Amino acid sequence: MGASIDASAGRAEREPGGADCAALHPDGADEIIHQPLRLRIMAVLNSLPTREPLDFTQLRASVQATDGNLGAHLGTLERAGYVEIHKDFVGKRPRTRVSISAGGRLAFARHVAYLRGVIDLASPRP
Amino acid sequence: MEISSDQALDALQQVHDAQRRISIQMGYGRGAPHFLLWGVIWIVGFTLSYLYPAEATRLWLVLDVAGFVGSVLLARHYRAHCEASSSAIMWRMVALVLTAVGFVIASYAIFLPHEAAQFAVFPALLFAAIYIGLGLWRGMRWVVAGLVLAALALVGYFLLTQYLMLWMAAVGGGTLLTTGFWLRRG
Repeated sequence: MGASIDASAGRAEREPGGADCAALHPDGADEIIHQPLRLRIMAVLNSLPTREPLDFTQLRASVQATDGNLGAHLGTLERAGYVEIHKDFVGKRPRTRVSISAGGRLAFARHVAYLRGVIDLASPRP
Repeated sequence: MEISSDQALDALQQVHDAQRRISIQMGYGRGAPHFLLWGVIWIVGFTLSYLYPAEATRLWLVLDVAGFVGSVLLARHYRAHCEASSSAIMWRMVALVLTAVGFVIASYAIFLPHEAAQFAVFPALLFAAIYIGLGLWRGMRWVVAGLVLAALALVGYFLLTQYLMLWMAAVGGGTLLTTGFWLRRG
């Protein structure tokens, strides 16, 4: 987190008179990431070092999800290009690991910056 | 997509909670091999101390150095596979262990323990206290391990003095091994 956002980059793409937060954070809320479980998945994966994958079972424990639910949401994130799913075998046991992509990190940083922007704008100014 | 400030606050809280959970989990993963290593060292060290009490000092010197080197190698192995930034963490852990060893030596110099049982239990209590302290930031499993270890060491010291070394080998070393497997489960 904490990536700086170029606020001017996409301002021209916004409708005039849009929300202030949209002007500050031109990418707005990321609807794919904003879903609560996907947000937790991205938060966990974003905490890992670059390209470091996390075991499916560890991810399931940290985001507190069921196998099926986690699998479905990972599919959504993978289709969006935000995560990469690696399947292999350790001995005879199948192993699934998940890592965040560079695009996923950027999207997550933008979404978090957007959320902070929403809170900042709602906070009373001194 | 419109998001209210309350929803944004809730979302950021979820991000924070998820990151805290994975941080604790990763800490457990990093700590597990160290507990397993020192569990084995305790079992070997205390068993041999019971069998060959006259050699106990030299024996523990060798085992402690071996354990220290093993811990550094484990930390380096983790660093090579995971985090570039863990270098700082590794050296902080090394400094913490050296501080603890220095504390034990200084304490012996001041309090002049004269029984083998005192030499055996004091470091165990110190490391139990360190686990508890770490656990206040790094997760409850460290706290539980520290409390169990301290309680068992005191039970052995006050109630089973004659068999303290065997007690520390079986129960103390066993606690460290069990904690290692528990932490490894994540």
